[in-house]
Amino acid sequence: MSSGPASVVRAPTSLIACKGVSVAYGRGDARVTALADVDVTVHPGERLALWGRSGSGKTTLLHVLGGLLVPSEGRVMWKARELSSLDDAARGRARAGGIAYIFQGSNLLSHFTAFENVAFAHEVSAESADAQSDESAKDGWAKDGSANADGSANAQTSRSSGYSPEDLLELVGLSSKLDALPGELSGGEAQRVAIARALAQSPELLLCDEPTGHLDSDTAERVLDLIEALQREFSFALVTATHDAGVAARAGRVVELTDGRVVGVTSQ
Amino acid sequence: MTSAVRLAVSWLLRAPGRSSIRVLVLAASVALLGGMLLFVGNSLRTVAGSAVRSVPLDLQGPVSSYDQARAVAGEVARQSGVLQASPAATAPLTGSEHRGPNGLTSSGAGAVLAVPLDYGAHIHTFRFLQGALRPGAVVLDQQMAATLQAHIGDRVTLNAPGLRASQTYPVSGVALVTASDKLFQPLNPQLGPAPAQPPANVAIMPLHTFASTLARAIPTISAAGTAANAQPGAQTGVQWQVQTQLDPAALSTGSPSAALERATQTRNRIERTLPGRVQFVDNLSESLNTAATDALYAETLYIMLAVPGALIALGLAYLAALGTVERDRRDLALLRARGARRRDLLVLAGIESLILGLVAGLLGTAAGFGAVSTLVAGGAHASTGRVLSIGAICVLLASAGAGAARVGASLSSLRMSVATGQRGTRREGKPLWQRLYLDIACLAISGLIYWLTASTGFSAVVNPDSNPTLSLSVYMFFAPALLWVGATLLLVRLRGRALSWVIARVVRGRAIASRPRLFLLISAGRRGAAINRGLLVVGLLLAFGVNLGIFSATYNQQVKVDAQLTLGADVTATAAPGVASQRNLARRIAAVPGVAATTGVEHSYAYVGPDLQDTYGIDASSFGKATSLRDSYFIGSTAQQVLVRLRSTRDGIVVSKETITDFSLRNGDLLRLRVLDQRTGQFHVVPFHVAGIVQEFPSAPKDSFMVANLSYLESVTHTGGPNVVFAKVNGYPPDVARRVAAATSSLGTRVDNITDQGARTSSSITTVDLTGISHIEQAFAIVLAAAAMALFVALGISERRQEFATMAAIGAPLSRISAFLWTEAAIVLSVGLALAIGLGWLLSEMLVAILQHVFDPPPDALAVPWSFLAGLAGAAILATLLATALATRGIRRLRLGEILREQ
Repeated sequence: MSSGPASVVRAPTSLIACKGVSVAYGRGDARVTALADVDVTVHPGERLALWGRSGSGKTTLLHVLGGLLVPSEGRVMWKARELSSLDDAARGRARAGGIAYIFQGSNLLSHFTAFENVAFAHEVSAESADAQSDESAKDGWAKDGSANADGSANAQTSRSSGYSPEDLLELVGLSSKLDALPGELSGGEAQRVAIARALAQSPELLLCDEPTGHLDSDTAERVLDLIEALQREFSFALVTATHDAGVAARAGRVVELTDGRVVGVTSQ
Repeated sequence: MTSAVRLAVSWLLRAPGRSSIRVLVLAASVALLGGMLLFVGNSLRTVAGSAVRSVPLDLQGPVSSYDQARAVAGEVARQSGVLQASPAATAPLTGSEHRGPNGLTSSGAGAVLAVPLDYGAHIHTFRFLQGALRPGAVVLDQQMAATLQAHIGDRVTLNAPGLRASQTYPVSGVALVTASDKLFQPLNPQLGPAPAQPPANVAIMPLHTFASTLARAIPTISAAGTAANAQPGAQTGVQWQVQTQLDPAALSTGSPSAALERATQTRNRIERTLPGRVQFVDNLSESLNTAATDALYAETLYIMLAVPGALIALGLAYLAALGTVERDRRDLALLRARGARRRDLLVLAGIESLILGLVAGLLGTAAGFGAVSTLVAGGAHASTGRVLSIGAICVLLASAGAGAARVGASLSSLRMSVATGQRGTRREGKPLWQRLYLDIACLAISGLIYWLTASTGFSAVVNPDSNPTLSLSVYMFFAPALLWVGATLLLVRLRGRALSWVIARVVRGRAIASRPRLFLLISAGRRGAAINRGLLVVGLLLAFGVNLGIFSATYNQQVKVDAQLTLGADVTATAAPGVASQRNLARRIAAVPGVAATTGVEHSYAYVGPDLQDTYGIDASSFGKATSLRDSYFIGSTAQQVLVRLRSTRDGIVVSKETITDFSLRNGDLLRLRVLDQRTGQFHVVPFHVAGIVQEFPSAPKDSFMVANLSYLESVTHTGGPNVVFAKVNGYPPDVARRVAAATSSLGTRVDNITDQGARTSSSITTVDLTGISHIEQAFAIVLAAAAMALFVALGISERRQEFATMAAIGAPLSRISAFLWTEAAIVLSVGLALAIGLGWLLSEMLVAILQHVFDPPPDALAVPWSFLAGLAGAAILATLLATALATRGIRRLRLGEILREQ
């Protein structure tokens, strides 16, 4: 389960980068290519949108960036470490230590209250940080200094790490809903809990998959405002997958996807 | 319809793994019932056979004369279905005398049984201990022989009413009359059997000898004289009769009811063939009537044992169906979107259930048949019709089970199709049974019936003057049945709320963020209903197993105790007086391989006041090693205490409670008995001291008897030593008995064993060997309990896959995620085991309380089959470990991307 020493690439300016990533499902005639030779780089604190129609590959790319999906070809570099070569456990630790998700449907753990959902992520993140520092100390991966080239390989540096679950829920305006179960929350409230949960992971990279897809336009606007405000406050990189041009327009850079290929990159 | 069938088949084939699990679970459920139905059929044959065999004399037809008896017997013997018909006669004796070397010995009133020389071929109303019937001679019952001190070759004088001069006969043998209550009963065909108080002294003589001597002087009872011999034990003259034994092979092929019908038909046919010449008193029908009642009781008992298991097993089918509920929900929603009506969906579910039921039913029938054939002694004998009907029942049950599980699991999806528009106004109320507190009512009524059964007893022992007849109320079974229903409904009502409440108290006020394990408890607490669902099936299945194991063990233990009490020990060897000690029989038997210990027992008689009682002389130091003594046999002391007291008191004697009461005795009191001294032939008074109170004793009769030290008894009776040797064996009793018989055949011993005795016990219920069916049910319980745990874990991962994927996306390690499964499995397993122990024990108590009246003596305590219970718990634990380990592997392989896209 140990990740072991990984190949090290000196790329201090990128937080995460995809190089020639392809993802294909099935075999033979049934083979479907979801992503084809995609190159995307995300810099620390950057706000990036993956824009495209349904089936364009944006969610798949998001999953590749978060290590939920291992690409069929290509490499994914997370803070100068090859994420795609790590095993499940190591990728899980990487997520717990800095890559957070916000899903379209909030995906809250249905048997936990709002507070418990956030506390669970908080606790997982803290445990992962401990495990990772122990492991790094043991396998000498940090000893060559390269992993710390960007100054962050072994450290949880996000500013949200000092916040308690209560603080985070207060931050998203839900201090009165600590004991509410997901089924007792509105769509907007559930999504704000999801945001607080993501923050509990002290993210350096926040991946949002159609975060407002299930919300009405007013609520969606407020949720996006909140995410952006928090991004400004905590300085994490934000990658949002969306089919909504309006949402994409709020990003600093837009990567347009069609049929699994990057067809354009626009900086704003 | 064709398209619906095609669609149903394609649904089932699309998920072959899950469909197979559903088929297997359903098949296992119905196999249990199918096996039980087959077993019940076999058992009824056993009960019928036992009832037929237990009657030593089937039909007795009174006739008016010797000639008529011979003529009618000859014609009856030619009828089909008749094994033997013999002319016979009984007559009263006013007394008898024997002049021996020690002077004149006389006995009181008695009776004569006159039979042909070949009488014993198939009619077994007595057995010879020594000698045989000889023309012109007489065979004495052993008690009469003992009283008269008469031996083979001696001459005894018989006196009868109306006899001017006493008749003297040589003694040609000594016998034990085993059916004197039937032989000497008043014969009135209109009134039927009326078993009589057996006469104290019985002499048996050849019919021809009797006809030419005693019968000439004693008046004859008219065949039609119904009042002449109406009082039991008050026979005034010669009763000529035709004694008939029907062919048992023809009667033992079906249930007791069928045997009764056949026996009645045979009797009627004989009576019609010989109109006005003979009418029978039917002893067999009475026995079969009792057996038919017992058969109903036995059927209820066996069904009672199997049905809960089968029904709970159908709960597994529900769990299995829940595994596909998400896919089914999507499919049903799709069909609904394409215009399918609720009715169409129900038809589809029905067809799917029929297909599953057909496959599972046939598979279950085959499995049940195979299990009974393999594991039940005697195998599975069933006619084609019965096999087909059992198959049809299994298919029907499996289809119904599949349908119920399908509809139960997909109820919300089915409702959604018609109720979406009403969602706003619809309120989920409590079902009627919850509002009526049916669960509490069931438990209360169950408790009440149990209390009545345990304290007062619903059963009755009727006709206490002769052979006790068992009559049991089937209503007693409502106690365990209602306990099952009540406990199940109560668990459904609780829906895990009790678990949630406990967990809420545990985690309250604790800082969860610093205690990762609390997340597991919180999750389990909120999933109380889901856990309860598993607990319901797992706990009840384990309870079924515990109940079955304890009940079967107690039943088998009691059958053995019953048989041992009747026979005396695992193996007994009976020898003529003097042979045992002169030829060192006990030591010879002890040397036979498989014999663990032996002890000699002397059986004689002594007068307590005017009452002649059986007296047993035992060696108190070796008796406990050669047979089993239970504390319940004695009053006021344990078995060990009584034996110690006997050992330390040379003239100690253990007497019945009746004797204690009648003579106002206490332990240590002097008791003077009149004991027959074989050397002088005179009864003489011998002092004994009371050493205890006994109510049951190996080989002793049900009424009053006494137990004394063998050495002391020998010193006052001079009988020549023990006449029976008890042996405890290590191996299979019939095998050891065969070896003992071979080793002692030269001494003329009669060897019996406990296994064969078990099939001859008085209650026809206990003649059924439950061992085989217990093994089948126990195997089912183990397999089903393991399957239930595995299904629960599998269902857990199926239901929570999105949650687990979310946890993985957050970065939770695999061990952390699988801990949620482990926790729930551990809760279900531990609470299920606790529930099983409590409920299983209570159910066993209830069933054994019902059986208090079947066994004699009743069980001291429940027998606990530790190895089976360990196996049951071990199977559940092993299945949990395996299933959870596989589930953990499954979590690792979850396609996170795909799952997280699902909404």
